Amino acid sequence: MNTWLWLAEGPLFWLSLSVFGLGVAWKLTGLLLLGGPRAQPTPRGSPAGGAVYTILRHFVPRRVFLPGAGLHVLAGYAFHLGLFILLGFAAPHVAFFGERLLGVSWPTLPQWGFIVAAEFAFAGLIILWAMRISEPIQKLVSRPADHAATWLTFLVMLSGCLALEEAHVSLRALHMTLVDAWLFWFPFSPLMHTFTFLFSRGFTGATYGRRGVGL
Amino acid sequence: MGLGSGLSGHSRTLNDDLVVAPHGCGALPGFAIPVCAGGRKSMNWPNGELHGRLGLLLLAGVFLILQAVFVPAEQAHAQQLDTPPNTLDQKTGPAGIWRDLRRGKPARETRPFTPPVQAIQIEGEEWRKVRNEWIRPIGGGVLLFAFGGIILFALFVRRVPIEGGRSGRPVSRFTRYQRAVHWFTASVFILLAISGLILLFGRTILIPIIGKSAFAAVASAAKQGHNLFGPVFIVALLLLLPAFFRHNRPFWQDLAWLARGGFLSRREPPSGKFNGGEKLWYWLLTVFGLIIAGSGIFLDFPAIAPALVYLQFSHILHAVAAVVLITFAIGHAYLGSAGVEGVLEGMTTGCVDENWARQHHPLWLEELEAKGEKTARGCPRAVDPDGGDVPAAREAAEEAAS
Amino acid sequence: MSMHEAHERFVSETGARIASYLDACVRCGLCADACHYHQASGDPRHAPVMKFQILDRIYRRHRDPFAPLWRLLGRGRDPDPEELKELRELIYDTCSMCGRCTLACPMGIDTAQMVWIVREGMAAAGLAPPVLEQMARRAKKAGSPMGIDPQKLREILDEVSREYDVELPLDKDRADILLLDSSLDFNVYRPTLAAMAKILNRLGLNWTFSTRGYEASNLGLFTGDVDVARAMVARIVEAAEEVGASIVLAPECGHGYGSIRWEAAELLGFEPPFEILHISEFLARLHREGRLKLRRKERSLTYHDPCKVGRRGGVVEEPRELMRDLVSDFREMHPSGILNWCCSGGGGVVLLESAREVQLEAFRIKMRQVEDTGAEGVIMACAFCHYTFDSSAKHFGWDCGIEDLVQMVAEQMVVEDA
Repeated sequence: MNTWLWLAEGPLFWLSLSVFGLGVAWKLTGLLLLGGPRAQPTPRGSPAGGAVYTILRHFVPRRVFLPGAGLHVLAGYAFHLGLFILLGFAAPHVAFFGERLLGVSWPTLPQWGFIVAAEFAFAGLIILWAMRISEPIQKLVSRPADHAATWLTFLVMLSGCLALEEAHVSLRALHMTLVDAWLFWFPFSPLMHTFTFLFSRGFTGATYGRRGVGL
Repeated sequence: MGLGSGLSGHSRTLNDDLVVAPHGCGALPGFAIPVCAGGRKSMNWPNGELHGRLGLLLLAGVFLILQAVFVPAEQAHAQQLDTPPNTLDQKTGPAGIWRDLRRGKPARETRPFTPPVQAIQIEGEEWRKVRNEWIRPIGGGVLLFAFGGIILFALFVRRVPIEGGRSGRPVSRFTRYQRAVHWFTASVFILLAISGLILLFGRTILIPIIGKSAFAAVASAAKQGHNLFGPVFIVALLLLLPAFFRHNRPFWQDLAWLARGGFLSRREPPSGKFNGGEKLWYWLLTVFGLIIAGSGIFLDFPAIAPALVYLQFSHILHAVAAVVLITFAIGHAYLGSAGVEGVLEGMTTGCVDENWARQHHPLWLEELEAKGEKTARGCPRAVDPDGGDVPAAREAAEEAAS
Repeated sequence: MSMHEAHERFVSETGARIASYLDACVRCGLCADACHYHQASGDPRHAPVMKFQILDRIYRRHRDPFAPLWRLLGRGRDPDPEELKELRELIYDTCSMCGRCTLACPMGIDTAQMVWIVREGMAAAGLAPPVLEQMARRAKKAGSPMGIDPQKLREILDEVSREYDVELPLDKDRADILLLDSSLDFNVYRPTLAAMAKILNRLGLNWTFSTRGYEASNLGLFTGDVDVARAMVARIVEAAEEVGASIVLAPECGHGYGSIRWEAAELLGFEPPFEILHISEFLARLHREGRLKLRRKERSLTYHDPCKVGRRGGVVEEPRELMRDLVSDFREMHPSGILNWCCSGGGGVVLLESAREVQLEAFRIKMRQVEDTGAEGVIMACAFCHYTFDSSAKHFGWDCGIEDLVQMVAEQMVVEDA
């Protein structure tokens, strides 16, 4: 048990974190280096302004697409916000980041806050998964990687939930091992949308900002 | 200007789903200016239930957050338990305390939200007996019977086929929302069932296999998981039950459907959108689901229980309801997938084959046709027999049509 | 034309912007709710996200920063001719490149741009729809997709000049403004052509047509044939330079405006050295400056924002500036502006027989939109939209009361006597 935990929080963790960091950097740099058009039309508006506008605007669905998109967007926010909150402010996570990575600590959630955030995150993720396997379009277009991303993230969260009592080394080791796998796989997976969404919205925003439209 | 006779003479009316509700025009910051965003009803949502659903989602969210009220009380309680006061006559000493307990000397009453001062009572022993000598053996037996029954059903009755084969014409049956909340509830139910069964039967079944130390971890995991997902299940129920309420009202013919053996009978008695069996499952889920939810709240937040007996009673209700729901869930899962041809796609794609509908829910199909509400909107061009690519289904439809 | 060339196109056109899109898409399917063709057919294959899967596969294999890894793992695939043939339905028949899906996408993915790139590859493989390919060839050879070469142009301008009693200068030595028009106007909507000329003449502006470059429409943008696309805009630039024009006026032609205003720079490799304005933009400017006064018509009218002019072109407010003074009761459709639904015929769709069924079904959305305003008619600012409305309304027997923006300006402009 101790060996497993030592591996999962030690060498395997550092390896996974390195692959994560290098992989993300490689992917994003490489992507940007693919280049753009050789000439741009005379702008009517600001590309930079358009980029910022579109990045922010697409956080909220346009009213005309509701209620159809409503459940999807709500579940998405429940998941993402719940996950960010518990990832960043749950006591065991802050302890881990603080001790092992950053050397600083910050205020944490009370236990109940951790649990409520997790419940939102689970509810959101499960609803999103339910839609991915039942909506005809999503069924048709989802790649194995999209399903794997959902499942792996879910297992990371589930193993964390199972280890909540923080009384059994095996459960903590299981959680850490899954975290390591998640980190390792991250740069090669659809999870990269975490960063690429900024580029995607940004490029569209810049293109149409140049044309004087906020899309 | 008008739509003219040419339009009304068309066999298909303008899509009534496309009701646009003006929301007025507003200026957007920056570049694009007065944009008028109209509300367009989604193809898949029935009339006007948006606000109900948003309201429910909000309620669900508020419910989850309300745990903030319960859990601090729980934590306060946990602290208090470190130094439990002695409610019995301290002069009597340990032996005297046990004697008094066995004689059923009642504990002092407590008010809600203060830590119950009962650390121990004689009724606890009764509760343990009920759990270990009644619930576990009988519940276990019922569950084994359920599993066994499904296996026998699978072996002997096999898959109920679609009479006359597939027509290749799809009919829209369940909305996007209904399918999402169904699978949401099902997933959470499975997680709770597995963890709950570990909590009830784990010691007996698992310790001989994996040993005590490993079981300690498994049990801890099961408890944490069960406690976290419990409230999520309540949210799921609050979303699911209203979403399927319409068409689930029980009528006498539903009893008749059940009495005649449902789709096992030579001529399946006609049903509306939901047959007797489905309605039975819906109402069992409602009744026992609410019981399991209510009892679960006490069990997850013991601080709100005024006395231990509430928890004991809750546990018994919880376990009984769980056995009932798991038993029927097994049947529901089987009959909703492998047991009947053409049924699962209703809850995955949202669409079913017309012949399936005519065979199993003819009254529903008639009602749709009479109201002009029968639609294949949102359905793949033809419902594929093997859940594969639409092109294959399109060929099947062409074949069926020729 | 070959699969090899197609492949080259697919790979070379996948730059940082397209790669971002491909790496941001999480397959949520929300784009489908915005697409009129998907709404019409209900077929999940018609969801916008399905249209760029081919680019995704190629990207993984050739352009992804991790491409060597994917090739090792056998991920990603080069397309085969059969696959491209089947893709035609998604790329030409059920997409007008209107860009509405981008508004619904949480990642802001410009699917229309990717469809354009797939069309580039298809055209390079010789798989663009034959009717569009023919028109594109004619455009490159003769100067117009309907075969209006310079000689024919002279004849048409003469006819229009006589019929509508308006002067149509051609090949002036020097002019401030170069006017373009589409073959649809030259052949079909001649009142619009006459109207533009009337307005410019009455305002005393120094303008001309040029046989060097006169066609606003760009079939290269429909087929995906980059050579044709480039040739069409190159002619316009040459013509403008020849007459020394400081302004090039794009007529009521959606993709035509976008072609010279927004696509030309990338096609040619340089910024065209003159101002390019949509006719409504130009008229709105004059109106703002007080040089164009308008008289209101007593009618209730709504306005159909052409996708390539509004959402993808940026000209949203200018037509409204004019319409507020042209119409006593102007009503907005819902939704309108950049959120407007496509006419259903753009991008060449209305020219394809194979797309007719889904296009007509999608047109119901427009009928409903117009009917819901309760207006007596709808104003057009794009000849292609106009043509789509005309032919689809005829099919449904719908009396839609179409008005044309430029024609209204011409009829209702107030000319002060000098």
